[in-house]
Amino acid sequence: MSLARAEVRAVKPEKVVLRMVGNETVLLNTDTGRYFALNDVGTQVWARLMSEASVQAACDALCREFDADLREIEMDVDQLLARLDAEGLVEIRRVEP
Amino acid sequence: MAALLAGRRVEPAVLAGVDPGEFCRDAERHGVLPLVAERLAALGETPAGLAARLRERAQGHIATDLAREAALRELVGAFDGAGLAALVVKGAMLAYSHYPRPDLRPRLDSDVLIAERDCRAAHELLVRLGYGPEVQAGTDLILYQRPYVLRRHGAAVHVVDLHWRLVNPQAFRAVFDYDELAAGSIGLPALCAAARGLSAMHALAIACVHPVAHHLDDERLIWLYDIHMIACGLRGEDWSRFRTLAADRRVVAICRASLERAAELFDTPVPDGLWCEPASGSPRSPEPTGRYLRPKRRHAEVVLDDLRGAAGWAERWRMIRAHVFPPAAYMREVYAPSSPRPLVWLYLRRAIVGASKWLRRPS
Repeated sequence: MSLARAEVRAVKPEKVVLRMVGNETVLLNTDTGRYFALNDVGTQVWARLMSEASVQAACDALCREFDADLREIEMDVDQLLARLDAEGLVEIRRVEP
Repeated sequence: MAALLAGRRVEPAVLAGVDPGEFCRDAERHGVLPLVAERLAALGETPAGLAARLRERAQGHIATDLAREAALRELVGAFDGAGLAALVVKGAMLAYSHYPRPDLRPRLDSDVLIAERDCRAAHELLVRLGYGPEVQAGTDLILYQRPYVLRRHGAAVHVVDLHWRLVNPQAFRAVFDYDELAAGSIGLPALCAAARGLSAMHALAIACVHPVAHHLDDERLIWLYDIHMIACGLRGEDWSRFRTLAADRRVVAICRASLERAAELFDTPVPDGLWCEPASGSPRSPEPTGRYLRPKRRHAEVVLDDLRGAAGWAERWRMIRAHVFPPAAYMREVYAPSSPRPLVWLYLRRAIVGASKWLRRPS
């Protein structure tokens, strides 16, 4: 990520619709028809990304939730965001001051 | 698959022996893949290869449904905004009224019913929303529906089947009238605030009649499971009213056969003696619609039935003409999309090829 995680947050674009089924989530870009299925962990990460004020805050919360190493969490979140971003399934926006 | 849908126990050994590809193809053909995937996931005894394949396909169904749902909501909102009282019917309605999630009820299109008087306005609205009408054979005496396709980047995102009568064959012409269906309609809040669908009783009657009238010998599990799902929601008095409706519209034989088949496969709770109750009024002649239950009918017999059901010779002549001479645009698109052959040749070819199809019994 070119900007620091604390300076950006993840937002679901309007063109993206999703459905949670059990512990999993399917995200669809209605413009391209491309979709992405998140497993149970991915779904929890997505939920945090959508609810926290910044990507860093989401990573911190996930670190507490999973009792895992923060660096590993940050890498996994970066990877997931990069894949979702490539499919137009998420927008990375600068946090409003 | 029927056993799984009925909630009966399926031995793990049976599942271990199935070919995942073939199983998924069969499940898709019967329109029950998402339901079967859900049931097997809950059982947790599915071989890994089959489970993975089902899961992947079920996710595809969810994505397809998400795209369709967004388009259908937009469409229903636009109809409502234009003052057109459209009803969402058949699978598209049941997906929101009787299934836990809409993706569990796969469908190729969204069936929408409007009053015949609103056909032109509905057509213009659909075109404004970006839907293209499909070229089709026949006139309004043969088909009372028209498909419209919304495409994005060349791919079909949403297909709407616009009906102004729900069942095409003339034997069913008086069975379901738009105004009656609209008067008894119910809201479909799971789709959107403006969406309306059919009452459970009308929905059950149509679920019983539609496959018989339109698909003859083709038995798909999802159509029977629809009947099962609607029937499960009916209570005591509803059944008597349903019986009266079926008798009044002269579709008792079809409704009875469809419910019996659903009960055979899914243990559908049909009240004992439902069909033994005396029908209202005096004894009547056999139902003309009952002929549609005869197995392996030739297409020619179906057309003859249609001609019998027409209102007079003028209508019959129009129907014959529509069968023999479909619109030129349809002939070009289907028989010779990029050929300069004269239309007369195309009609002749259709007559020769069509005659053998019409006279052949389905295998």
